Amino acid sequence: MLADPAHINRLATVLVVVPGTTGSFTVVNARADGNTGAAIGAMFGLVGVTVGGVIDATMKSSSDARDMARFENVPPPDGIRIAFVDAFRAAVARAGRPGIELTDRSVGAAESRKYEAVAILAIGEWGLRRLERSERSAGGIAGFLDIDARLSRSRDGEVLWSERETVIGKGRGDITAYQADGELLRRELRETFAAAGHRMAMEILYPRARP
Amino acid sequence: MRQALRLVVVLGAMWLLTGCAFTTSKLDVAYSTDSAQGGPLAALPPRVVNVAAFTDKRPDTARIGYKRNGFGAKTADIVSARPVPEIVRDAIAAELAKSGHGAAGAARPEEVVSGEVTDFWFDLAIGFVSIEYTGTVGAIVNVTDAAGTSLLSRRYQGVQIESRLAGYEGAWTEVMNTALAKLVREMSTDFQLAEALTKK
Repeated sequence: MLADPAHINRLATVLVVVPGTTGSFTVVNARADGNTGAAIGAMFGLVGVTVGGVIDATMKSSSDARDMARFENVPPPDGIRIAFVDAFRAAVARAGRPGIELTDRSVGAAESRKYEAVAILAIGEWGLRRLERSERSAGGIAGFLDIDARLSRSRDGEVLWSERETVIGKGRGDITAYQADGELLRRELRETFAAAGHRMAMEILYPRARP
Repeated sequence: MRQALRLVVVLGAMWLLTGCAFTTSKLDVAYSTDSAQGGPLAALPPRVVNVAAFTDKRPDTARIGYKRNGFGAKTADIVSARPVPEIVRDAIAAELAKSGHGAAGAARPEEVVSGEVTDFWFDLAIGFVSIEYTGTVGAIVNVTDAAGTSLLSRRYQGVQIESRLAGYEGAWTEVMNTALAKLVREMSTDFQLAEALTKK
């Protein structure tokens, strides 16, 4: 959701807050297949749909939980968040917009009011996610993170931009490859977080109209 | 009489449903510059850039996805109404033109942009109460100067994931359009591409 890109373009000073990561590392592998239990249970009517759906969801969550438990080298959330923060700052610096400042700590109302607007970029769930289930791709698992972005004008509290975005990395490895190779996992997550930081910076530096 | 009518209605509904599930769907994916964002590319002085044809390096060039039933089994192909390399090439050319860099077919371009489409795929997963759609578009974009010297080679991608209660070809096309727009946005906001276009 966006009011008018011109409103954001006119902002001389924006404080961007990236609070501590609220979500934890997660794997969406079996769950990416959807829920086939409901269709199987349909033979037994509405109760069958419900029971089949719940059983299928539970089995797939358990499978993903087992996948997650096999990871021994998951980077700490605050460590990986630095890649996001650094990429955001680098993009703002290259664009030459000194009025946009970023902090990764909580700020009070008094400090917020020093800026024309405050953007909060909250990182939620993050980890690995399967994108495809076609047989053409052996792995198809990429890094991901969810971001809730909200930009509000300080003087009247009007929300100028609010969006939930899932950013996907460019890796397409197999789950076992990420489990076996800690550096592969760290690189994929680092690059995904950096891509997300760059993209969020671009949304504020060069706002666009949304449908 | 009423039972016969009911049978006809049920059979008709089954025919329609299976007809939809088992027939090929054709998506007309396209990029609209209405969603163009501006960025480092648009901030450059105008360049004379030719956008050459893109090649198709997708692992599967016969389709862009599969229809699936509630059990997750493939039931039919989803194909593109237009050649996929042409869709991606046109999107990038449109964005460059909107950013002030164009002159298609110019005799003496300052730079030539070419590329390879590596991904153009639509997938759906039927959930308990909703359907999750995933659109993925990927391409390697190469920039050379007029003499053919490589200035840049970058991989861009756009992925759109969204859940809906229901949807058919219109919704699928929207997902792919958004994935394509995200790829174009990644390209147009790439500082390294902007630098490559101003090297000479």
